[in-house]
Amino acid sequence: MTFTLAVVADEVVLARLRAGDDRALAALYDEHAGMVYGLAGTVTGDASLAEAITADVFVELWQHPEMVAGTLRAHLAVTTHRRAVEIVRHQRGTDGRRPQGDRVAAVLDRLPDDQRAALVLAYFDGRTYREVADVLGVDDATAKRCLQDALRALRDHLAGDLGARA
Amino acid sequence: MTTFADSLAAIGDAVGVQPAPSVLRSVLTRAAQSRPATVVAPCSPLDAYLGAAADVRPLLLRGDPQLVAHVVGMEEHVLAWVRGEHTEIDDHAAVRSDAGVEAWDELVAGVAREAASAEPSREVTAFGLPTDVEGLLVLRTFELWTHAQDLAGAVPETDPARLALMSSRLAEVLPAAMAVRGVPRPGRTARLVLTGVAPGCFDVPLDPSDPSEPAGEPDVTIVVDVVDMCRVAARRADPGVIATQCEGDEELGRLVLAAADAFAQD
Repeated sequence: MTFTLAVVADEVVLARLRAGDDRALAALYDEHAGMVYGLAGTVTGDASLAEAITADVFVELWQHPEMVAGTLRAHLAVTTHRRAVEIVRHQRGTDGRRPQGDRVAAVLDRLPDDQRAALVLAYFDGRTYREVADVLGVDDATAKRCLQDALRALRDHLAGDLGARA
Repeated sequence: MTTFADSLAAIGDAVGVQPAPSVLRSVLTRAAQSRPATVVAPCSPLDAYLGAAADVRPLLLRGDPQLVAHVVGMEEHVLAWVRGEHTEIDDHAAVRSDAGVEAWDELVAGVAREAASAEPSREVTAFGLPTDVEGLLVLRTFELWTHAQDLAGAVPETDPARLALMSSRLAEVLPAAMAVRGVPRPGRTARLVLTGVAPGCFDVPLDPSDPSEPAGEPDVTIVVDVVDMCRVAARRADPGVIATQCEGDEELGRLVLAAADAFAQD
């Protein structure tokens, strides 16, 4: 493991979580809830689902702090994404629709075909780089670059949208 | 290098919206109904005592004969106390017996037999202190653990469940320890967050006259490694030297830590 400042700070908070200190949980929530909620919202396109996912992610962290590997921020992001994708898949299996918000749909419409496909496969369907590469018929590096470009476009769009609303 | 997780987190941040306040309330309510899987459950006082005796025995066999004489002499008292007999110790450090380690084994087995058949909450007097059978076993566990440190020259690897028992009992007696030290703080609450191999969190109401008093919101949170805390209580570490983190009323935190060794015997 690389000992970045974030990892060292995380270790202190995690030690308190492992002991069952709910004040540490509340502090973590204050720091990361916006990120978790925002991420869940972009995947599900549903505010109430995003709230439920946010609560579940933090309760799961409370119950199983031993599952954290790397930084807490990365762990929360991956856990949130996985859970949101599961819910999206379940809903799609039920009613056939893809539950994305308008803001995300607007980004998808603007992306080149390969980036849109990579984003949908990895971000909304939870596929790995390798699986994305197989579906698109490209090598792993190309799939990775497509996805990173698409993720950057999504982030920039959402940040710009926020700036426009401020 | 930006990882997929970093990208996901950046997107979440970019949305720039906070969940409703009710979500945090829901998280904390659900958290209060369960403990992290990492919190170690304490073992029984009898298991702790027998475990501590087993750990120190090989060290006694190759250790200082004077210490062997001391632990044998002390175990004779412990056996008497667990039977409900009253024996006085004027000078704890001076307690000695002529018997050896094999005789000590018999005494430990005798203590275990008596403790197993006794009502755990039966009052006894040990080291001049009013306690009960289980409290006596925990006190003696602390002592044997301390002897193992002294003999090994280092903190011995200790069963986490035993440390969890020792530290939970330590948290319970902190109000009395502060009263003994002349610094009772009724109406105040300390949160003790013990980290390391036996993590645990204890909200301790600091009123020595009412052990059933419900804990209020913590006035101070003390974060400390569980082994360090036990070493402080055993008078084998200086609370001013060990790594601690105090949030809130730091002066109260210092008083709590300074009083933790009030019942240490040597």
